[in-house]
Amino acid sequence: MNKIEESDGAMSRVEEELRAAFERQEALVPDAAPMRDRIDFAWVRVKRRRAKRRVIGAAVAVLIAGVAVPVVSTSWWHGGQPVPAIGTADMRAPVSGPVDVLLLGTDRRAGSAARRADTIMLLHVPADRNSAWMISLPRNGLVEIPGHGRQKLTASLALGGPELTRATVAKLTGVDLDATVTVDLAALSAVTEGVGGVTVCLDQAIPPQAGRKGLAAGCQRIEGDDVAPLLQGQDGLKRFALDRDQNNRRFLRALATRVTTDDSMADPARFQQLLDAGREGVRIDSDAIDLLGVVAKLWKADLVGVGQPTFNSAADGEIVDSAPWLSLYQAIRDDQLPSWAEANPSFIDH
Amino acid sequence: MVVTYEEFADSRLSALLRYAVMLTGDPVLAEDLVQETMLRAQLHWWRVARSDSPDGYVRKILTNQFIESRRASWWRRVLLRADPDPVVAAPSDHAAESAERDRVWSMLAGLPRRQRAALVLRYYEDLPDQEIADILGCAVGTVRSAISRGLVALRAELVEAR
Repeated sequence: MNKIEESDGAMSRVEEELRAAFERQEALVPDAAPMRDRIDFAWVRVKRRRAKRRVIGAAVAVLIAGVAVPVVSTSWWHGGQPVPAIGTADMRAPVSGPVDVLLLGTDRRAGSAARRADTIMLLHVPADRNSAWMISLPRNGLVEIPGHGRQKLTASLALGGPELTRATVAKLTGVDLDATVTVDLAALSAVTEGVGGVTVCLDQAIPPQAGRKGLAAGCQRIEGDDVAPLLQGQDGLKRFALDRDQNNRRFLRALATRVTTDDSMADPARFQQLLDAGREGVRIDSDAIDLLGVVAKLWKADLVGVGQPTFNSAADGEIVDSAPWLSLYQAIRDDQLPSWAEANPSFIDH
Repeated sequence: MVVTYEEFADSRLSALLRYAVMLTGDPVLAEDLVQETMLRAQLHWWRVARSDSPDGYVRKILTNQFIESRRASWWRRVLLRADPDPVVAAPSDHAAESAERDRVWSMLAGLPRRQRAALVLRYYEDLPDQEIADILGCAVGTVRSAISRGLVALRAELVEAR
């Protein structure tokens, strides 16, 4: 027997022993059923903890294309390259396919712990990344809130936080939501201040109300102080909440335009300022790294606003689960919004 | 048809547990590893489900956690305590044989974790080099050399022990 054969024989002996050792070890494998319960139990805790934790580190970034809301935690923002948190390196698969984000605009009213959702939008980014769609869901829309019966959509935030709103919207639309972004009014105001104001054109004046100042009709500069009146004013508008939703979309589009066309945004100091401005008021329930990747591709995307053109009211709210809405949800799920928009031009902002 | 988390857990959980036991050599550690993996997979389920191979993706998460776990010293300590338990080593006709097998197991525990994962994927899961490389996130050549170095190390210890 020559030396090589001897060595091969020894190797296959080792291989055999390995296989035998593994096989014997199978006796130690725990039963899967109790494991399954244990994981489900832990999952409930993770969701609860995550809801709280996310508030923290996220600093706002850029409301790009309205879609985006952005955001970078300074902890992984180094020299312009996102640095993944330890232990998540394996999750950085590139995002492809359509992306759906639930955007909640909230207001922490003085003297009230309960938050209400002032603005509820679905941001849809098609797989081709050539456009981005912001779809306003009426906050007074009557929906089935899991565990709370049929109520107005806006109530879900107070009843169960962003998680419940997300579950409610997912149930209503059947859309698989990739992230929930909650933006505080104060943060939007600070970001607006940070970019030196945005230009918005209004087709009707917003009357002053409840201690807020009014805004005139026409194109105008919106500074930080003007953000609340612009986004919250609805009394005195022709279509109340529907016009308000449209003003919200106008504002996001204006902010997106400002952020994407302003050369000073390339200035790191300015960018940092913007991050600081939004740090407190934005919270993302998802993987911010990947959202940022999506956002980066949208720099030149066409931003389309979608909202209900006229009231379709029941006694106690808006109907959002009848004909045009159902086909809209279907179009979002199928990533076929352009053809839906063609068939329903009255829903599309111009 | 996209696989749901529930369907995945129903069909794959026991296989993942077996794999984790082979990696860690310890049922309790294996359960922790699988739990952590399944939570992560669930957090990012849409991405797992849309990948070419959900099973491969989840295995990759599990393997990375095993390899990169910062509790290295702790893992090692637990793994290396694999000295044959005197109670288990009851005298019998097969005593000598089973003592040798226990030795295989404790030697395996002494290998670098990446090598050990490669050996488990090859000799327990019977995966081809390419799939092992995908799971470990390295080149096929690296997989081959990890396996052969692992075998050489095991053989050296077995020969020495005799």
